[in-house]
Amino acid sequence: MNGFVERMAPAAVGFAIAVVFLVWSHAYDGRAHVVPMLIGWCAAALTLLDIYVQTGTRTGRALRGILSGRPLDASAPEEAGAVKASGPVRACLWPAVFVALVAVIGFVAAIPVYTLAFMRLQGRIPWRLCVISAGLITFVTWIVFEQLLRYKVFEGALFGGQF
Amino acid sequence: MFEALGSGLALLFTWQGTLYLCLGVFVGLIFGAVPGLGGTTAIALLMPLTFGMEPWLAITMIGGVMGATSFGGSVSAILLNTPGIAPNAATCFDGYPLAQQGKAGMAIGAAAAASSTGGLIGIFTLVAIIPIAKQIVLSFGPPEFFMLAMLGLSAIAVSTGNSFLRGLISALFGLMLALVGYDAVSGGYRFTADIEYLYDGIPLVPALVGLFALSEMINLTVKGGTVAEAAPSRAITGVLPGILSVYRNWPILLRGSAIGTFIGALPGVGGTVASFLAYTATVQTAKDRDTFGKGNIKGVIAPESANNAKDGGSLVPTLSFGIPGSAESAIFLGVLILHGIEPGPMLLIEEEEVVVSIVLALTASTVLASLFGLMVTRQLSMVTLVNVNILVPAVVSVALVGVYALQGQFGDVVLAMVFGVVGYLMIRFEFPRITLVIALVLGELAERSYHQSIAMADGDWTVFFVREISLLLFVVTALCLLLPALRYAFGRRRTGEGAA
Repeated sequence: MNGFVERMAPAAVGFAIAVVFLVWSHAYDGRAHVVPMLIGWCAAALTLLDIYVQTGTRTGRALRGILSGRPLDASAPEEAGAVKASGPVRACLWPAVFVALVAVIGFVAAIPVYTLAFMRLQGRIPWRLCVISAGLITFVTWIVFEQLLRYKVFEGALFGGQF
Repeated sequence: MFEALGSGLALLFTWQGTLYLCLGVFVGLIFGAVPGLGGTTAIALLMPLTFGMEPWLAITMIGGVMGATSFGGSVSAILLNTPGIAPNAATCFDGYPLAQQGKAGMAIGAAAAASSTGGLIGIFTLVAIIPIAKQIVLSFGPPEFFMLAMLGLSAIAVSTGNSFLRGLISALFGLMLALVGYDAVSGGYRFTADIEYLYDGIPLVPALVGLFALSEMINLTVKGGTVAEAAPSRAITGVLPGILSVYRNWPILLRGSAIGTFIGALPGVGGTVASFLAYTATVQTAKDRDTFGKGNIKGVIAPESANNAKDGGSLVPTLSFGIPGSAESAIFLGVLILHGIEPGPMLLIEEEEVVVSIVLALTASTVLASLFGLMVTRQLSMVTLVNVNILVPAVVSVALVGVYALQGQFGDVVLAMVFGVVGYLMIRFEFPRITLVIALVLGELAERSYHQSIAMADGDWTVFFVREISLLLFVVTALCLLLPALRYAFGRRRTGEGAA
């Protein structure tokens, strides 16, 4: 990912959230909106400041120094860190896929499938170890939650689980 | 207090109390030893499991984890030069060279004795401060509580160092999340988008599990590989001389413990600063300065005593004012909420048994962790060799099953996953998670106190500045917010003088 975009995107997203929150706060009246408005305005101001700090201009860099409490060399060029985004996206998708699986087939069936897929596709771990680990993790989870703690584990939409 | 202490001790020494304490210590040692996991992940993961337990048992187990993680981390720091948790990094400087010289046992013995003694000093300080804190809390009214919440958030944002601005932004987002759900002031629902699941607000446990356990797992997935690269090669002998060396160097032990307790009591500053500060102070005052970094046992004693002493220190603001001194303390507050105990300034007054339980659990776990740790040192260091691709699905599965089991709501699982992704993004883009969590915990108290104060003063907002304690808290909050700018100004002046 482009270094500038990577620096700027979180600040811009933060500002957008602050603005949405501020607009939403207007929907409430009386005492219900006093504190939300206060928080919204502060968040909008600070996220704007964050955007400015990320611009990498001389003043922006000086401001970053003040806010971090460490003098920075304002004349030094901004480092351009290009980080590949596919790894983090894939890493974030794994728990999402697991949750989707759980929704459909429930924990007891989803845990071995997820564990097996994760270890094999993400970790390139030998099949045998994948199967043993998947079985073991499922067994331990089932024993601890269903048998020892007597919790009911979600069964999945296919097997009558209620959302 | 003594009555509560007596009943707390009786409960701790029941078979259940001892069992759960040992379980907490065991989990704490393992999670402390594995880099990337740590106490926060351990507590977040165990939290849903405690739901069906008696509150004192849950507190005992979590106390066990809190007291044990730092010694677990020092084992991998000494044997593998890989600190289990960040505060153990200072232990690597002299611990690992000692291990390379074949004195691993001596270093581990010193770490065990220094952590347990430092931990006990921290806890005794906490016990000594509790009666004073009680008197202070009794003189607080709504304006003071509001200012206290503001001070807590500002102090924690400042302590995040380079991420001060993003720390404040995280705190504001945490406050936004805290406002979701039923509003007791207006009697209506806010920011729920008509989603029924959100009517009771953002549930704390799924949020904490996501922010601290799942986000770390996503982070480990991105990094990949094994957490430590090589197995320890040296035999572990000479533990007793290591233990004795701690008491021969008692001034270093006392100084490290004092630094740890003090730094721990400052909200958000944490063990890393404490252990590095103790290490630096020891190096700077030592006559044999040149031997540090090459295997000086004093370089193990100082950071280890500070690191464990900070646990007692960090509970001072947590138990006295409801402002967590560290991420672990913040999650500990989540455990209290889960068991129907409202964290906040009145905890000290109304829930004496809870305070006593945590003090006792921490005391016992501090000693137990060192004893257990010494027995299983080698096995502990082997835990760090586990492939993250096996660790991640195991932790994710247990975390999400635990989150669901809590209330039987699938929405909790989705929420934990969302917070996991948000937590990972926060790690990646340097938005401190601790300020968000603390704001989520303190948000309700802050808003309630604000409205009570305004109502009390018939709409006059100067109520926050005319009461002495409230004004004092405001001044300290303002100083906290100005601290980075002051540090910058002093730093520039020093740089200018250096150049001249």
